[in-house]
Amino acid sequence: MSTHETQVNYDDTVRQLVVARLATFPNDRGISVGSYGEFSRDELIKHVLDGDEIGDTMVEMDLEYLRMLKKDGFFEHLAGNTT
Amino acid sequence: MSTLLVTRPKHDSTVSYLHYWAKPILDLALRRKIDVIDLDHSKANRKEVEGRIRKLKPELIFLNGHGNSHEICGHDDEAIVDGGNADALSGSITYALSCSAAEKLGSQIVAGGGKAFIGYTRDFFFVRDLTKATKPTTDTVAQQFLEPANTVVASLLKGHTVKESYEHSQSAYRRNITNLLSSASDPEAAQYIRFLLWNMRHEQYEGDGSATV
Repeated sequence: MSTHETQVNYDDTVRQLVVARLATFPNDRGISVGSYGEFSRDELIKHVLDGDEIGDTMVEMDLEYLRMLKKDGFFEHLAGNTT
Repeated sequence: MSTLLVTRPKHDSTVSYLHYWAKPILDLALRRKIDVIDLDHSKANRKEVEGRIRKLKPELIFLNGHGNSHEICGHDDEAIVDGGNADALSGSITYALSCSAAEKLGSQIVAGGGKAFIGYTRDFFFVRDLTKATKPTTDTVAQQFLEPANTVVASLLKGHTVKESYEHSQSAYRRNITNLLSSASDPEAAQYIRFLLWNMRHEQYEGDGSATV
């Protein structure tokens, strides 16, 4: 059980975006979500739609990734040119 | 001679993967003439772990298991390190491949005399190929996640400092993300980037960055 205490209310549009991205994930993969255990793609989608702690972590992760992609210097950072 | 103490519980699918993927690290340590205390399966319990650490004072401690910001778990999710025994890790470099332990517990360990603590401030994610369940170390999907994570320990065993080892792990994450970004022909590959980026961003160290094993 995670003890991370940040609580954010994501709206349905954001949840649907994350679900759409998760839906393209192969279903023969197990996704280990930290101390919560392992989930299939469809189980994770349900958590996102339910808006529980696991689902919200997935939303937070996806938004963080999308924001990073937009960020100036992201690819240079990956290439190790900046810290 | 230096000593490496490792915990490798194996009671569920997630920690079982960590168990198998830690094996090459044990082999590396032995090749480098480092004593290895391998507390696997039920030996990864609080009494055994704390007792061995207090008695042997290992230079390097590598903890695999579930956890949260207040505890690192072993066999059957028993808390093997928490605020009640964090002082046992004084004088050691500790790496926890465990969720969220770097959020609070890592600071407690360093405040209690730990040389350095490396871990994750949030949940650690990895993806595995379910068809490889019986041969985890042949799982190239899981490899994308677990090799960068274990690079910390491999680098420490090779004599690098805590800071350098953290940076080597970060570089391994960046390299895998870059490779996946350029895998335009494999749509599945792009799916893993969010998890790798998350792990990379939430890995951190505290304590003496210049410490070595």
